[in-house]
Amino acid sequence: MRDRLLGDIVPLSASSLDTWLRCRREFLAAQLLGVPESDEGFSPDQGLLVHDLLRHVHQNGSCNDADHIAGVLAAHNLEGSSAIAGFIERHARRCPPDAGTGEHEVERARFHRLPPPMFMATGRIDAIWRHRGLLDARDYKTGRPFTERVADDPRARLQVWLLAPLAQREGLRLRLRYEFLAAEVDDDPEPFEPDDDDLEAIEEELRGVVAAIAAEDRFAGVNDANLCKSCRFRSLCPDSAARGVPVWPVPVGVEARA
Amino acid sequence: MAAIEVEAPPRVTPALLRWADTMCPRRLEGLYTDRRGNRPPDARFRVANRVFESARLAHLELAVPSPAAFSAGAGLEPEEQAVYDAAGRWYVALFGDRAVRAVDLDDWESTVEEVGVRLVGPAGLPVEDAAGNLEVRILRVGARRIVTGDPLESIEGRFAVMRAAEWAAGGTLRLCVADLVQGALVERDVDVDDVLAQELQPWLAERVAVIRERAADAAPRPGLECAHCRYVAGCGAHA
Repeated sequence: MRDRLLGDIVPLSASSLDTWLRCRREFLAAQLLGVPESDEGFSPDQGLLVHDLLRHVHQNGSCNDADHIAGVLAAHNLEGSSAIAGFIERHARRCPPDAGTGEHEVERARFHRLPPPMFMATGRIDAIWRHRGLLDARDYKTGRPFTERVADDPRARLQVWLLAPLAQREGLRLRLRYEFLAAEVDDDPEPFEPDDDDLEAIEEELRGVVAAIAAEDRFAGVNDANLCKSCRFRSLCPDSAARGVPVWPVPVGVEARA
Repeated sequence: MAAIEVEAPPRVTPALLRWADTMCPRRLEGLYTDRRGNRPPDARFRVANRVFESARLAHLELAVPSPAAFSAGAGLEPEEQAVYDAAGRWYVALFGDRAVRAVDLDDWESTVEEVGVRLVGPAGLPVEDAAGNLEVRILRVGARRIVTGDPLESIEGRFAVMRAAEWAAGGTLRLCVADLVQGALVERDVDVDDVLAQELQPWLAERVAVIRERAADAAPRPGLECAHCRYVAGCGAHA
């Protein structure tokens, strides 16, 4: 019997969707087979740190309180880091005033049953503020901008689909904004305020993606040197345009089976 | 004469032991009571399963393992084949100086009468040497958790000793946890009766008490773990 690559309900996240759209071979290795990574990729450490700091800052005070921020940075042994302080300062200029402490790192899950295929979308939203009739969701970005409109990013489309029932239940208008917090970025992309037609279209797009995943049997790699060079499976992938040697240690004196 | 159906005790897995405090209560209850649910994928385990099976076959007779024992067979993707090959090489490198034979225990579950649960899940490869020394080898293939200094600190290590309790009772068991991608091995000789009485049975009882308490109030708590939940049907969070 053939092993099942997919269960009855297909999981979908912003990250897995992004992987699928970038390279089906990477999706197979990372999402379906759980192959251990063979190569280094871009380090997410700085982004994770900034997300963590912003959560701490808001849960215990205000991002506009210089003393509080200094305390949070000191608690993380980051007193002298003007780069990290800069991320928080640039966020503070975007943070909605008088919106309370907000919610941070909010986990959402939404199930699609019919029409088939069934899928379960999940995601963690960096921050949600409620103000002026808005459910104002934020996604912090520490890298370079890649879109002029949030609505054009498939990951953002999945996020608003996840958030829509919450906004509807609370009678709020939904908005998703990307905050690009790197020093060299001047403007954020245009926020996304989806209407009912948008949300219906997004559900259909996601359903189409899951149907394509279920129908896929080749999982051909993208074979693009620019993309492959940062792939964490590039030394294993049969379609890689940037093959190398896995970073795994190799035992001395043991040959592979002939 | 009518057959008498005996209800099986609830089911405790390594995942339940690991996430007992934080797992969604409804999902936890489903796993604990072994409720039927939607089918999960199973391809993720096929490399680890084949490595385990190759290691077992390498020790059908009392022998040190050789690279020849590690032939994955058909049906793996090239990426998986590379992982399998690496794991086979590391198995030979880490265990190549020990001649042992594999022992057939129940592959999948054992009952702990004192606590009233079944321990369900893999428990490593049980082997013995010519002198009758017993050993359990937990073979990790690409696990994200690092191999710690004391194998009894890991859930799998504790689980394996409890699964092997009857077989190894009254003696010493060498417990090994090997990462066959990173080439790491930690091991410890365990006085089975002593460790069970002093450490593992109280720990299991405490963990099962937590599981029972949380399963008794099985309200759903939707979040990221819904992606892997087998009990979506009928869940109030996804009605």
